[in-house]
Amino acid sequence: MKKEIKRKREKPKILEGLYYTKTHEWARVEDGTVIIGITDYAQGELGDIVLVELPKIGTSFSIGAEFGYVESVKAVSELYAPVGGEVVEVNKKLESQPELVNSDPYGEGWMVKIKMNNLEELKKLLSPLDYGKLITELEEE
Amino acid sequence: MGFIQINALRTPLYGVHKRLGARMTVFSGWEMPVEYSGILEEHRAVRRSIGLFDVSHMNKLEVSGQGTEEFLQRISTNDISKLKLDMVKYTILCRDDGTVVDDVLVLKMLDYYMLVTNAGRKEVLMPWLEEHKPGGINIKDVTLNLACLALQGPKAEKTLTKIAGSLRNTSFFRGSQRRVSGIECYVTRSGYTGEDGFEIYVSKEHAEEIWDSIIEAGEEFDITPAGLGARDTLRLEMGYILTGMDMTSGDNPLEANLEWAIKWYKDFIGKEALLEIKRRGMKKKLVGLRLKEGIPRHGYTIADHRGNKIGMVTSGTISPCLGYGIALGYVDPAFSAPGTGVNVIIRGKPMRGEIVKLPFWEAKR
Repeated sequence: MKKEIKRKREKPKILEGLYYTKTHEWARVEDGTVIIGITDYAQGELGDIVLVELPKIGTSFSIGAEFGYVESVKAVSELYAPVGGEVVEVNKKLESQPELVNSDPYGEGWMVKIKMNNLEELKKLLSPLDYGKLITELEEE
Repeated sequence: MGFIQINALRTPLYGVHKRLGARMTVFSGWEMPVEYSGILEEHRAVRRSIGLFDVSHMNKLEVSGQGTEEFLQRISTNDISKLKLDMVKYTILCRDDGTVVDDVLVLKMLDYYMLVTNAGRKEVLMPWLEEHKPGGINIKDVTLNLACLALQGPKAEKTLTKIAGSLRNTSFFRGSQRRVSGIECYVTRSGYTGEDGFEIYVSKEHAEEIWDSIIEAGEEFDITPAGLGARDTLRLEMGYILTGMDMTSGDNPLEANLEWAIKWYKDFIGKEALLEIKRRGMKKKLVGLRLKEGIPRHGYTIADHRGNKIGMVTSGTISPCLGYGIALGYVDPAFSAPGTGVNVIIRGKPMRGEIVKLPFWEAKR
């Protein structure tokens, strides 16, 4: 049987119930904390992720600040905070398994959990629908 | 926002890359595939079995006319007079001051010499060749007429034999005109990955046919299309330089550990300058280094343990086979011995590493 060697170019997934940034991070509010990661579109664009550099627990940052880095084989990409707050948990699994960000960007590939400063900041983020429009525009370029 | 430069060149295999859903980029003015299924997977496939690359972007020149051998001999650090028909030689082309114009492969063909040179150095090489070639020498740019496919990996010979006949007598850096699936091609045993492999030159109108034919022949060995991303990680694991990155117009071949490609017993442009540099000693040396943690990249500073800058990374990546960061870079010769502890500054932080002997990876060839 002829093997279909085709790159997995399915439409990037967007989950309902999450907030999104123009820089392709997602934020999920859960039990008073905000969980942050990068979107399926972002991991697809980056390719094989080989290193994730995350802040230490207790670090504070403001909305839009650089809070870490994600490295693929060929590139280094900054991570930008969807909202401001203090880091309360970091996904330690990503140290040895950075590829989780590729395989499960919204689940096992989560990056940091923060205690948010200002709930109002969530209003600045994109809805799943608006994020979907953004990536459709990007893919058409 | 990202856009593809609209006047980038396309190889004869562009349609194949789009068909396979490759992620494309512009490299040296060519729209090329970076990856198909993923750089790590493609890299490992080449080391484990076989991968197929489109390398049609490489600059290809047919040089002919009265005095061609003398001309090539005069501009090459290596001994071109040693080439017999169907032989390949690697050489550097230098300026009078010993700095590098390009590194090239010279193939001796029946009626001409073929030069295979870096796509990224074309703008430097072509005017320099024009300036130095005597009248009567003809240089024909066949880059767009000829496609080139690189089949690389331990299963390369088994795969290509199925459609091109026995390759047992084609040793490394030898070539031959032969039919591949009935199509006339020129096949050399050569490559840029460290594995056994072949580079197949074919007329552009048959490029897709040859690609499909090789893929079919390689299916039983799980052949993988591989892009420029894997091409770069594979060559880096071998410590192979990329002219334009690891060796540029400001560098000389001695600094880049390429003295083996220089034959001091013959004359060539730049010889006096290089002899003088050899006598005086080099100001910097290209070395391999590995990091304990972190990924070294082009432009990152190499420092000693006190934080003093001692060099710069020219090419770096994570090694898919070794699982740690590896790089080529220039350092002060005092720090060039394997085992020397150095730091690479990554985002302001010194990351511990050491100078290591090349290659980083022991490939099977």
